[in-house]
Amino acid sequence: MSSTHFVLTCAMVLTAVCASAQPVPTRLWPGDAPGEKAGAPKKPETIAPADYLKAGRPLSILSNVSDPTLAVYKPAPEKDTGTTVVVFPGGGYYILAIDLEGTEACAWLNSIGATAVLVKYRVPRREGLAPYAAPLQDAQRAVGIVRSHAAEWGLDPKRIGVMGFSAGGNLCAVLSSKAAGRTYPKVDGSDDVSCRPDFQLLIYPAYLVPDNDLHTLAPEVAVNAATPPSFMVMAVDDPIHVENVLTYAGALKEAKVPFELHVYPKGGHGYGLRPDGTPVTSWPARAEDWLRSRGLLGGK
Amino acid sequence: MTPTPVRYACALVLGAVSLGAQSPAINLWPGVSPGDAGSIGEEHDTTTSKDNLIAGRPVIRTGDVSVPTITVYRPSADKDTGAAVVVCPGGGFHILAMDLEGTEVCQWLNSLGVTGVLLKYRVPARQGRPDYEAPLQDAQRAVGIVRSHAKEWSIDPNRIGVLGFSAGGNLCATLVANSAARAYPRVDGADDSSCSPDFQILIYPGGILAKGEGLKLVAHAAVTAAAPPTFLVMAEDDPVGPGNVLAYAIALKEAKVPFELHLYPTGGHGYGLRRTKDFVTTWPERAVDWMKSLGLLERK
Repeated sequence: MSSTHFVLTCAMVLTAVCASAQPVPTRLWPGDAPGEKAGAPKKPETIAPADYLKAGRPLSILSNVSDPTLAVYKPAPEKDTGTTVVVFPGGGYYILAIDLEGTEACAWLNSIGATAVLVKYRVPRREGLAPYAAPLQDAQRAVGIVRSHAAEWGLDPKRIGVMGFSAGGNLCAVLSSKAAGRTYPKVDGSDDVSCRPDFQLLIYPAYLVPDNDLHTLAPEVAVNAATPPSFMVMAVDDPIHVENVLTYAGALKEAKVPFELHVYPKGGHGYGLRPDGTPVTSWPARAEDWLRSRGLLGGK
Repeated sequence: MTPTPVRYACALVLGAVSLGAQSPAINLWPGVSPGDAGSIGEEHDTTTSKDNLIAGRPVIRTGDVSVPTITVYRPSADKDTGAAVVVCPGGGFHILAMDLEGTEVCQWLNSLGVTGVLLKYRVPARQGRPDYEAPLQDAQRAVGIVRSHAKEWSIDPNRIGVLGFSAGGNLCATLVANSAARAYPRVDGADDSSCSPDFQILIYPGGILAKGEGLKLVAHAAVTAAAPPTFLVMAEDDPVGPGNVLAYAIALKEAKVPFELHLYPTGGHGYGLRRTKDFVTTWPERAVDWMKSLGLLERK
């Protein structure tokens, strides 16, 4: 598909988006995603209920993503602030918690006047590659596509942030750290615009620190003065270690990057945006205050 | 936590304070305070017309305290939860912000059904002694007096916490680290009961981050597994440095002590409970949620 065709497809997708609550996903790559074996048989994507509940409700597990996509969820026109958040669900880079940490996040973002872009990135981990490597390509490509279509889709190109849960939070931090250059050969004009997020929300992020050295950041999430303003939330009893956010916050402080951090005593991991009476599940109210304080919800 | 058996038996504090009222100041020491030579001048408000306002209002800055006291502020009987908090104002161990970080806090605690015990500890720092040393004696003595009078004052002896701002936060952390033994010769029976707080609230604490590389605590505020559940608040742009709360949080995690931490990007230092445009000044709402989650605000 040529880039003209791609843009046309995107325009058609957006038309569909405006007309319907369930947007039609757009493929990130015109052919096979980079590094995928051309023409090789792929395991079919599957979606199934998890064998546990969150806040008393079921959740869906999406597996075997080889054809990554983005889907644009627009807020009601009278609420639209022009701010966009690209959403990365978690799932340990094995699966995607596609409703708990995906569509439900998009619905919340829409409710506060932000456009949400749900990215279905490649899982499970690709053999022989770092767990984040293929997802990083997808994330870079997704943010580039969104920014390059900002005018067309009615978005402010200077207010495109990212939000990720668990492994998706890791992916945001890796993207923020590695936004200076694409990790794949250029496909089209979308790859010429910046893929650096303008802000990031890391919700119980994973793998920012190695298990055997909780006070040192992993090199792929190194922080510098170009790291975007960050919002973080985590519970002390999270089994994947609250040091992920404590250590990241320390690095942001050193780099003089503005951040906000909320650490609650209890809550475990993987609560998404579902309130269950535990104080940590009030985090969307904190995030809304933070977005507001940065002028991100104040209209165009 | 065990209920106080005689909650309503006696609402008198040293024969003077009924519920919903304030006691006369109670001297901590029968004679000269330990270690003092009587060389400190008359206590007075050091605030001048040149001092800055906080949230548009002036602040009382009490200086030259050599007769440390506690003043007990009781909630109304219909609200009383039995919990008590010893309040330590800040002021860099030079002065005490007695209203901003003292009486205003006690009034807020009363509104939650909590007894506020305002500690007027010795300032300025005594010559030839570490700045926290005389205040630590005062704080140990104060908590011991409150706990030993729990029955008489209808306070739950298992729900006596401390709350400190800035240097007062340093003092709380120092008390927690040094509550195994008194730092002065025994005066009376009040010194036989524990001076270890059951919980602590540190608001923009200063002076607990060790100088030098990394996020390490000073020795006099070292954290062990005996530290109580802790609530921390600070702004990243606080000139005293957010490293103070990050280092403390990291140490609490290592000691497996439950905590809650809220770090906001802006707000500076010394806002007390006064609401400004900065979201950090919503911290009292976070603190209420935290106290509720620990069961501290339940009527027993």
